[in-house]
Amino acid sequence: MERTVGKNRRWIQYTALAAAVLLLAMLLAACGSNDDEANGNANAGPQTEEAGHSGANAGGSGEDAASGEDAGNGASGGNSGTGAETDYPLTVTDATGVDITLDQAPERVVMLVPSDTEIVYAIGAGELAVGADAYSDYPPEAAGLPRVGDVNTNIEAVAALNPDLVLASSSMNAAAVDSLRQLGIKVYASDPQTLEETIAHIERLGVLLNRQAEAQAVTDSMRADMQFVADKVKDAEPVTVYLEFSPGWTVGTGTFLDDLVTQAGGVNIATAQPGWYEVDSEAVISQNPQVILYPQIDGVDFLEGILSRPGWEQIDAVKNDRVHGVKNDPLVRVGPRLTDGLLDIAAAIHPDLFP
Amino acid sequence: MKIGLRIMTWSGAALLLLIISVTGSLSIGSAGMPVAKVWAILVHQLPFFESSEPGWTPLEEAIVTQVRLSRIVLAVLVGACLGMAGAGFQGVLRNPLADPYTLGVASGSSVGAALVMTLGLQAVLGMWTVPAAAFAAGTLTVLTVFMLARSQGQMAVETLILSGVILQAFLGSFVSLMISMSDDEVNQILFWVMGSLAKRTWDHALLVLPFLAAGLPVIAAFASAMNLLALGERHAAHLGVHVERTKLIVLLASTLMTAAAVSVSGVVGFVGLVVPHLVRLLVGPDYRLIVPLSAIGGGIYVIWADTLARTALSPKEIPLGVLTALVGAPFFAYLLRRRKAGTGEG
Repeated sequence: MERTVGKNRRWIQYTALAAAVLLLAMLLAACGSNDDEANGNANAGPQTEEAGHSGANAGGSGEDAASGEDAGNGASGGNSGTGAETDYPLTVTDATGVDITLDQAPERVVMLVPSDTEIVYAIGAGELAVGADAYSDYPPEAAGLPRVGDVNTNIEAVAALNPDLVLASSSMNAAAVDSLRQLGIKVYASDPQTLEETIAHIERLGVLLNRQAEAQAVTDSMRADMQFVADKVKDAEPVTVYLEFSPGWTVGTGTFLDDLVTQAGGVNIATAQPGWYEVDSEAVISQNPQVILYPQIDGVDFLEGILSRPGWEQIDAVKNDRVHGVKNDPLVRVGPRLTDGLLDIAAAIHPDLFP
Repeated sequence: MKIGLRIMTWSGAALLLLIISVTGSLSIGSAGMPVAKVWAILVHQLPFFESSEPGWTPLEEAIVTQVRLSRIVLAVLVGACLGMAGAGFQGVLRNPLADPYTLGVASGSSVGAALVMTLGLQAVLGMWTVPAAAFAAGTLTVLTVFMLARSQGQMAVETLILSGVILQAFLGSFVSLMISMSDDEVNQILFWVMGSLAKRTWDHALLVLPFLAAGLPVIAAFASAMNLLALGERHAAHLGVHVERTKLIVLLASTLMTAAAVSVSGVVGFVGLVVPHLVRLLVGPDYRLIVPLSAIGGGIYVIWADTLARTALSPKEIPLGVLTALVGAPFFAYLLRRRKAGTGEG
């Protein structure tokens, strides 16, 4: 007994010592990275001041700013019929109800969600992007951007890039939006919930970033896709759809996925609840959906999970072999590819109309 | 054989309650079928009653006999494993706060499952990847605790618990790290850690069954030894109990049952802690009664917790582990107060 107690105590001491050493090491590491950040900041300071200067002098000596201006001019010149130039200063109200005033066209933009990154590149403002979150992997050009964290935004990393505009999601980046604003950084937060709102958001970014013509071109094409689908499905029988986007989880009312299913000529069976939720198995069976849709994600076998659930073999969709995978990213990002997702869903729901 | 009679009586009563619970739970669900129809479907399944004209759709029959029944069977198996493992852990660790997770099975399993999810390897072995990883990691964790606590062929109870607690904290931080790094809209790791019986299959039940079937007789066989252990290890040894062997076998059997349950259901807390205590309050401190009754009681506890999980916010699911703890935590507090009030040893 005596011995074990002694051993216990020694063991605790070792553990405590190890923990202390670990803690110290982490502290040192943290200090090190702080130093780096500080240096980065110090370097970034003068650079951005220069950029600001050249911007103010319109056509000054800053290389980056000059090329940005050229691209902007070229694009708007080519599309002078449809797109207008944005007048700065410009004041807009964002999804958090905050007024943001832009004194001049933004030149250093950081995106905190992949959908905004896709929009920025799609409307030809890619050269303004100076940073993005870790999941912004589309288009491929975005892959080289400095990263500013994942769902947990690294505020320092954003500040170090000295952006004159940060694009964020008011629902997913709520905390980061507040922190950045406290630092005096301009943040435009959005939260589109439907296809229409997504289109409006893209056009709004076109105004903010002075890419109105390009944004118009993007949304025209999206509207054309929407119309194409609407025309095809308008006389079709509505098809009941169960949409599973994560094993066991579905989407209810008030979500853009619900909106997409409806526009694709489907009837979402899970509208008894709002938002995204884990659905009770028997609720799905008793609704007997004609089609089951799931996203194709690497490493997750939705199909096997769906087909092996007890009782699901009685569902029409399973009996008639109408359990379809759809491409994931266009569906979960409220950006320019949302209508690709719509086409994909529509083709799965009405294979006869979309050969 | 007075004790034999008592075991029979209590077990009989508990089994009756279990059957009532199963039937009751089968009658409730988000599909909103009338109870009469559910029972007609059930009676229809029995031999000699098949001939009657079915007044329901195949879909409704599938809901009762497949969806609900498979889930209830799994609930009974998981609950029985956790309840009995809890009794085993409390018996040999002689600690009223011991539960199936004291030695780190749950934390280990969580690391295994979380690692698979973080690396996106869920489909390597099909739907069995996560359970397999969880089971292996959970068992490995407890073996590590045994190694840490073992000295000169003995495992002191205090050292075991301490090693378990330390390893739990250590592994828990890995799980938190992986949760914080996850980018999914639905954080799979978080939900796994909260436990659920939703969207499981008959195969999941078949996976747990052999562990329960093998574990029940093993732990029941050591019930008398655990009674003597309550007097203290030295006294028990004087009375002819192989103390170290009893501890090792009961802990191993309890661990394997827990790991099997956790690997299919995720971390369902408090069942293994609360059920043996409830049983003890009812029937007294005799482990020959506590062990079988904890198994049955665990089954009943999880059936009702899971019924609540699938119906309370229907058609939305609530994580099962949330509900078991919601019921279990106040009871835990009550136990602590009773001990404080000075009823002596617990």
